[in-house]
This record gives sequence, structure tokens and C-alpha cells, in this order.
Amino acid sequence: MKKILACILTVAMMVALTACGSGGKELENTQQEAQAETEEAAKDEMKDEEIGSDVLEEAGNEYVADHITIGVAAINTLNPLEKSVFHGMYEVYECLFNFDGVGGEMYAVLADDTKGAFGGYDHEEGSSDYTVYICDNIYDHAGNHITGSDVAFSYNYRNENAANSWPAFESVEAVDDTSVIFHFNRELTGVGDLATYFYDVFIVSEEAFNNSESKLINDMCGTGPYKFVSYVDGSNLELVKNEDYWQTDLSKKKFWANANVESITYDIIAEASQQIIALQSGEADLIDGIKPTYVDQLTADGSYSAYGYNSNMIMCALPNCSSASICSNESFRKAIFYAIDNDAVATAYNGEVEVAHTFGIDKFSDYDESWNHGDDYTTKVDQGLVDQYLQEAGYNGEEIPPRAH
Amino acid sequence: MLFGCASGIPLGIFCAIKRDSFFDHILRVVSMVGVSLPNFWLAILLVQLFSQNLGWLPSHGIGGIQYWILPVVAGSLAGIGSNARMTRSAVLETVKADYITTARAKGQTERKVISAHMLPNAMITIVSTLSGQFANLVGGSVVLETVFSFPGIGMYLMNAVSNRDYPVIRSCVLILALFAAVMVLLTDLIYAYLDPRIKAQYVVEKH
Repeated sequence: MKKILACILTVAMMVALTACGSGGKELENTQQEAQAETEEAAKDEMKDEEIGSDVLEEAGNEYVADHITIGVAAINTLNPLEKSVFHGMYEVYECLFNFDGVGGEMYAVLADDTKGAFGGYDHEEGSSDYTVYICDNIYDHAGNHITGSDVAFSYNYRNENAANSWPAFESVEAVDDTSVIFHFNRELTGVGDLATYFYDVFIVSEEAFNNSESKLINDMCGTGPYKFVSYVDGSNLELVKNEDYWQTDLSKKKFWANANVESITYDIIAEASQQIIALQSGEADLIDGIKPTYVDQLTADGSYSAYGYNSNMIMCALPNCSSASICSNESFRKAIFYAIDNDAVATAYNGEVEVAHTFGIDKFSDYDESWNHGDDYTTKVDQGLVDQYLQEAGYNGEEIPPRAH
Repeated sequence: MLFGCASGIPLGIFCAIKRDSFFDHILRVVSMVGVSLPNFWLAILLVQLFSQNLGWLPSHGIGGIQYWILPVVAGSLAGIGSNARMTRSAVLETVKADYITTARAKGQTERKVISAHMLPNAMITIVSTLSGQFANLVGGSVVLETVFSFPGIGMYLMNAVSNRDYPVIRSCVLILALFAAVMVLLTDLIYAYLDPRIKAQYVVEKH
């Protein structure tokens, strides 16, 4: 009996290991064959039916599909008036202004850069009011004309309902169909102030918002290059190209507004390993936000390509300084920060990040390069100072488990 | 749950009837493996085999019946194993009972003996395990739905936990607890239906 049991367990283990590990060359070959067959079939189809660029555009070894499926870990919300990190939101909704990648300048999207002294807005030094001009030919996917009152509605609604507050913001007032005045409680002179307010709110039509049964939480109606088709919470979101995209001036149309594919499906794949399997089995064409640890594994033989993009995003540790927290003690806070090795953190991220020396980043127009030099407690590691500050804080050696949000 | 019952109980009966046979040994080991395997690990293995390597089934999402196969198998294998083992031992306990010997002595067919005498008496034990299984299944669905990107209450709860959405967490926990409580209640009612002695305890005599 023991021998039989041992044999069965051995077989079970072999089957399990085979299932785990046989996705190597055989899979690659299968995928390459499948890909070759797909491409061959597509070429034949084009020849036979003379289907043009609307189905498949050949450009050397590249082709443009008419539909892509993008795997994403989560779609937390479709609410345009709530901050979201889901990239699909930017296909459907647009803001007044945007920024050119790393180190870029602010440029107008819905704002009209032919008006105003600053390319879309006016401001008098010393004043806390800003006048923003918007284009007069903006229509959303429901055909609603986007006017100044819609901009005022979007900002004021967001200010009244969002979880995170805007300390300097007071209100937006519509002057006419193409201009609004932003009222702040101070002049926007801080680093990133303009970005915070002009690039943080998707503009929606008040009428579309009120006509939506879910108040645009389960559906979408924006002005962007793609429009909403369907959404299954926790499963997928389908978008289709907006043929009536309002921005027809090619000189002002940015690359992200080109809408190269006819339709996009965002598939929610929460599990990281499932994202890879979806990619390898062809269920997903692209994974948005793949874990860096998988990139080398996928791109090693050239079967897959990874598109990395630089970001000005800063990750930082902010201590809880409330009276209930041990971090309310300044010496203890300094001890913690002098103990954090930022270079080691950067190494842990596979070199995908670099140590920042300042909150100010070159994304902001008033960035000063000199900020990026010099060390202080946020960047320096010093064991001697750690001991000194711990002593000053009266630390008795007890174990303190860190809790992070 | 249905899949687990429909597969596990017949397998258990089969093992009990063919006690100590080769099939009995195999099924006992397989059911032990089924009970022991964590369902999320099994889910990943199944996906790698049937979706990635063989390409027979979708790895995630919802749609047609094919999208249900892997989650159902991964979620019910532990139940199948548990039901098979429990049914086997419960049926074996009744095999040597006097009423089984009497039934056979009366000349009843083996099929009749099993279905009309053995199984009803073994069902109390089997039903007891089902309510516990339901709780396990509900708990396991939280992980399985995440693995298969299946938009159910489990995934909804996981997202709520990630987003610290306390009202949703409270609501989900309440609903799941309610389901579990209803299942326990149903189990008790089924006890009474299956065993007249239990039912008799709750019958008020009319004078």
C-alpha cells in the first residue's frame, strides 16, 4: 500500500510540476506558430477581400489592429469627478490643460490657447483670480455643447464632493460660453499649483451628468477620442473610437488623441500572474502596469516588448504626525528618515526609479534645477544621527511595527 | 457546491461499496489531495495547464459556459474530496447495520439497499459537512474570484478592502454571514426531514 501511495504521490507531483514548468519553448513555438498563422491569415484576408487600412495596416513588420484588449489590475471608479489612476479615463475625458511628459510645459486641451496672455488663461500679478478661455467647438459624446458653465459645474462639484480637499480653491464662475474665472484664496505661486488645479479635473457636461442614472459612475460621457460602449463592474470596459471627435485641428491634436484602433476593451485582471498568462495566451494584447519583475522574463527572447515611460511621480514617506502617533516626536521622525536608504530603495525597484532630492520636479514650469542638489534628512543615511535622534526621542528599544497606507 | 455534491457523494458511495479495491485506494488518495490543495494554487495550475499550455479554456473573465469551468473545478475540488471521504465513511458505518442485513435477507436488490436504506441513514453525516463547506466556499470565493477576475461578491469585497471602503466591507460581510446563517438553518431543517427522531422532538403532541 505504501508503495502504491508513493507512486501516486510521485505521479501527482510530476503532473503538477509539468503544469508549472512546461510553458517554455513549446509555448513559445506554439505562440510563434499561432502568431505567424494569424498574420498569414490576415494577409490572405486582405488580398482576397481587399480590406484596406480600416482592418489591418501593414507598415513594415508592424500592423495596426482594429481592436485591442488591454489588461488592467483594477478600475476603481469611472466617476470623472473623482481622482483615478485608470488610464482609460484619459481616453474618454479631457481636462482644460495637460502636460508634455517629463519636463514638459503645460499646454491647452479644452482651453483655447489662442486667447489669454499665458496660452489659454489670463492672470494679473498679485491677483488670486485666473480667467481661463475654452474652445467654442467642444461637444461631448452625447452631443452636448461644452461651455463655461460645464467647466464651472465640473470644478465646483468636484470641490464639494471629493474626498481630498483643495486648500487654495474657492470656486469657478462662468463668465460666458467660452470663459470662466477661477477664484482662489491666494495667488498660485507654489510649485505645482497650476498643475494641481488645471490638470486635475475632467470636464463633463452638466446635462450629461444629470441625465446619467448613475451620475457617470457606471457609464461615461466625455469629450475624448474614445466613447463609452459598456461596462461590467469588476470585469471589463469597452470603448469605441469617437468618429465625431471635436478637435479637428491637426496642429493641436496630440498623439494620444489619434485613436489608432477602432475599439478598446479594458479587461480587469487582478492577479499579476494571470496578467502574464492572458498576455501569453493571446487573451490580452497589452498589459497596462505590468509588474517590473515580469518584464525581463517576458522580453528576454524578444517575443514581447515592454514600453517603459519616464514619470515625474515622486514616491515618498510621510509620517503620521498626529498626537496619537510616535512620529509626533520630531527627533523620532528624523531618526526614521536618517535610517532610510533611498539608494537601496531605488535598487530594490530594479533601477526603475532614481533618488529624488526635492518635491519640486521638472514637470513644473517654475522648477529650479538647484533644488535637485544637496543632502538633508530626507536623502542622507547616517547611523550616528539615527542613534543620536533616537536617544533624544527617549526611545527605549521596544519593537515598533511600521504601518503604511 | 452542486458540482461538489453531485460528484463527491456518488464517488464516496462507490468507494464504500468497492471497499479496499484498487479504485477505492486511488479515490481515497485523490480525495485527500483534493482536500489538501489550496484552491488558489490549484487555480493557477489549472490555468497554466488548460489556458496557457493547451489553450482550451479562457484564463479569466466572464462570458459563456467555458468561463465557468476552471473556477468551478478549482472551487469544488476540495468539496468533492471532502464529500467523497465523508460519504464513504458514513456509508461504511451503515453497511454492517442490522437493518441492511435484514433488507438484503428480504431479497431486495443491492441498488434498493443502497438508495433506500444505506444512503438515507448516511445522509445526516453528509449534510453536516455541507454547511461547513458552504462557509469554506464563500471564504474561498474571495480568493478564487480575484484569481479568475470573476466579478462576484468576493472580488467586490477584496476591492473594497484594498480601497478601505468600509461601508462595502460591512455590507459584504453581513450578506455573507446571512448566507452562512441561512445555510445552517437549512441544514437543521434537512436533519429533521431526514431523521424522524429529530423531527419528533419538535412535534407538539395534540391531546
